[in-house]
Amino acid sequence: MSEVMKQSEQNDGSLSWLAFRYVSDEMSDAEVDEFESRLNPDTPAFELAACEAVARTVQLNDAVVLASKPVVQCVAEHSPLIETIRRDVVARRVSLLAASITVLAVGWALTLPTSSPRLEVVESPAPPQAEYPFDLSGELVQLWANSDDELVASVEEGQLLPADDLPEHFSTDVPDWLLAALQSRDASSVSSELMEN
Amino acid sequence: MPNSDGEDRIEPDSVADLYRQHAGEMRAFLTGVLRDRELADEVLQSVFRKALEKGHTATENIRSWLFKVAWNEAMLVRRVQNRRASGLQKAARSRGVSGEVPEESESAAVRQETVDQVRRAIHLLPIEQQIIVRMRIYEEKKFAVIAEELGVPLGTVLSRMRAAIMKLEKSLGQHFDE
Repeated sequence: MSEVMKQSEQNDGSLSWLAFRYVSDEMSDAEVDEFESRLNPDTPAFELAACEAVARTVQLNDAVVLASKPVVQCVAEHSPLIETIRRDVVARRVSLLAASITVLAVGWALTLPTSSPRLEVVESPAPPQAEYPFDLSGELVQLWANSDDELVASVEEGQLLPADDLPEHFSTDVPDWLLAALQSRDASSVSSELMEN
Repeated sequence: MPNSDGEDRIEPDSVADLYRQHAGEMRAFLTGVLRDRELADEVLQSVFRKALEKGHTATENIRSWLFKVAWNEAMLVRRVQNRRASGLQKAARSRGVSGEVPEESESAAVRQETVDQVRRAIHLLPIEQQIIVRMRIYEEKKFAVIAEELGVPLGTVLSRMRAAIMKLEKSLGQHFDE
């Protein structure tokens, strides 16, 4: 191929197109042989520009692949809709947590006036079965049962947490922690009876 | 430093500089020829070992010399591969470039700024060219398959792709020339 033809080929992008087809495996065997003779330094057809075109094509392909990948990830990570949903979920979790803490605090406060008899149990020589100064299980059961109590009722009716904000899985079934507390109380009363006997 | 033949080799620091300057382009060239990124990386090491041993004998531009060495080393590997493939002479050619494009820019032979530039350049292409660029390069579909899926003649797909390649290369010229 003459120098003039080579120069013309480089100018109109034919060489880049040939390199792209070579790298993409979109050439016939005859075309591959012809093109590779331009890459082979041991042939008179060798031209540095063909080598450069192959390198440039691979770099371009890699750049296109990399440029295509992050776009999908960026859309997923920075979409305004997804950001809004995330903020909403966080806000709901915070409000649910705040309501739960309020319920526990109220429950704790309600136990204080009635807990003094239990303090005597702790002062007795009986082995310490709980780390807490008094047994909350009775009060928790009472708290749960006293639905006419204004404060508790207001919490259960969703005044602190709007009913719309409650998650779908929210249920008014007896919670596990309450059952565990009851079992703990039953067990301790049985052991007390055994010790007394 | 004189070697056992009394010749002055290129200093290792100078070879390290050559590596920094040309490894990306050489790796890309070898990937294009071998269609295998891991193999290309292995051959790249051989090329720069040769530069350390024989680079001082180069009578031409060192970059041109590196391309020639890279081709010869790649052909050695291809011949070994072809022998292993029991005479399947076109084995190395008959598949596309294997291996995922590495996330690290250095391994992918492109820099992040080039990637950003490509992204912008792609968005400037007409939509019909963007589609074909994506289908061919990202989804790795053959031109014939693209033509079938889009319901357009093969010649149309080829001319759109060619036009897109020209535009992308033109917009990226200065990045690749650096």
